[in-house]
Amino acid sequence: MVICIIALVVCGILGIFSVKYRAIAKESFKCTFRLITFRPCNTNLDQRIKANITSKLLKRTPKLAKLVYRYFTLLSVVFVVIFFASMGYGAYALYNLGVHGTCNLKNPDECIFDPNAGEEQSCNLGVTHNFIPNILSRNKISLDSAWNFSKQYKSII
Amino acid sequence: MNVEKLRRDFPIFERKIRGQNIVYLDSACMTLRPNCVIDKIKEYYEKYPACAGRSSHVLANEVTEKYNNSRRTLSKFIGAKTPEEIIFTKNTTEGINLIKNSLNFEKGDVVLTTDKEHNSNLIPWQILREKGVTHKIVQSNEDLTFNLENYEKKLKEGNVKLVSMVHTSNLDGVTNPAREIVNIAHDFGALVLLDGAQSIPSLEFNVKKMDVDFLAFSGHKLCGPSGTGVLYGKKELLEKLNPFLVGGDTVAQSTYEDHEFLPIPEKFEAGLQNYAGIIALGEATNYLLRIGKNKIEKHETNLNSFITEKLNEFDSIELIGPSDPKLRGSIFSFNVKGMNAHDVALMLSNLRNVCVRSGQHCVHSWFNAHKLEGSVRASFYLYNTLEDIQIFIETLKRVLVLK
Repeated sequence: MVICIIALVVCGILGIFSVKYRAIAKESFKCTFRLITFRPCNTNLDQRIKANITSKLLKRTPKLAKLVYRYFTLLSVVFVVIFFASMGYGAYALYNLGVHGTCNLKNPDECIFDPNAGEEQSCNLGVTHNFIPNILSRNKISLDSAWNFSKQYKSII
Repeated sequence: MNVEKLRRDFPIFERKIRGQNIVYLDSACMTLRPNCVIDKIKEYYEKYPACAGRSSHVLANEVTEKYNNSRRTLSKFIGAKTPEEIIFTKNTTEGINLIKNSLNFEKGDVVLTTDKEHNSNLIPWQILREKGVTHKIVQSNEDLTFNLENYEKKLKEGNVKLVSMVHTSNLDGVTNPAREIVNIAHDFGALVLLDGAQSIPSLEFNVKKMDVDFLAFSGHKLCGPSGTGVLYGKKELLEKLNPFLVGGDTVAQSTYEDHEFLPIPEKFEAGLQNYAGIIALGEATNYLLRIGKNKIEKHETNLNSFITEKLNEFDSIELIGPSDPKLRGSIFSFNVKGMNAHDVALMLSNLRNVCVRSGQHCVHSWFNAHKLEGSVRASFYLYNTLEDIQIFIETLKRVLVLK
């Protein structure tokens, strides 16, 4: 199944750092190889991915789980297309940054990788570099208490 | 039978995975092990980790005694005439292969099996075709119970040297009528080898009363260690057989030119044996004898009746085997219409740690003949409770939403 292709790329990258993912990457390679040679995947990996995703959804939203289970192949094709399209755009942007100094040729100021970003430059969400300090001072919250809160929140999740 | 009390003997039930206990319904593949069996394995390695029957020091004597005790227990367990009739093997598969290689098959001989044989009781006979031996199959009834008429017809066709049949099928839990099978086969001068892997752990079985010639079963399906098994054979038949594996511990004497085999059972037990496993297998059979196999059988039937009643309401569930749960022993094999068996099993495991088996259960031939991809198989044993079954049903209901 095409989902193995995503697994191959993702686990291939993660496999550089972890043996666990290396094994899955090998398995997804076998699965992908069989896919491109028009044979069904015989490693059971696609089935495990499908069952894992579906059972996680089943715990929260059974209707969505049913939809995903039924159209899993179609959804995986869509995800593979999106995945490779975004990889292609990412590569194109990096190429432009290297060659032309900006990743966005049409609007050079909007390049997120721009190393010459101004002091007040904001990201797409409109968050400036002094966004958090401003919120803290407006709400009379000290940096220490904010830090403690973030630690507690981390332990909860 | 106090199941709640028995469960305390199995340390696996204390384990939590993803914060939840496990619901183990895969005993037809492998049973869980009680503390007494685990302790016996540990005891061997801690107290007497030596060879049996070779050296004569204090540790060797101890392990020899325990090894022989285990053989006596197994002999009592199946009602053999003498402990010499018990040959220790790795598993049922090895037992069947021993017969395949040791019985003197000749061109024109026929081996008869059912249509629901495990690969272990199918492939050996297919291989024998090279020797000119014919393998014939007795077709089951439509509800997958044994068809005695078909069986007799096949025997009447002649030259049947061996009837090698599964006693209780791991596919659907159906138990074949061993007594009739043996009697009819003997009338036609054929020998009978029973694959008792699924039946011996749960059913009262006495080889003398049944008059069966050979019986093979595994330790891992009766709370014993994996890698242990038994081949029973009538003494007079075993004495005539040539050993399959030869070497250390099978001979009394050897010269550069010749050798003299030891008597049974040693001549069939080549090389250093799995002493820890075999001693623990003796302990496992003692454990089952203490509980009583009739109680185990009754308990399994109750669980199967309960599950059958509850799942009968669902049209999407297609049962494999007879509708009467009493005929299916400890196995509930099914398919969910429109869903892959592996998907169902994986989701049962992911959602609530429900362990069932999916696929073709090593009975590929039957599934291929019936054009089925496989099935989901829930199988129970002495440690399963009604609560386990309820969890299984509730989780399955959640999965059924997907179809």
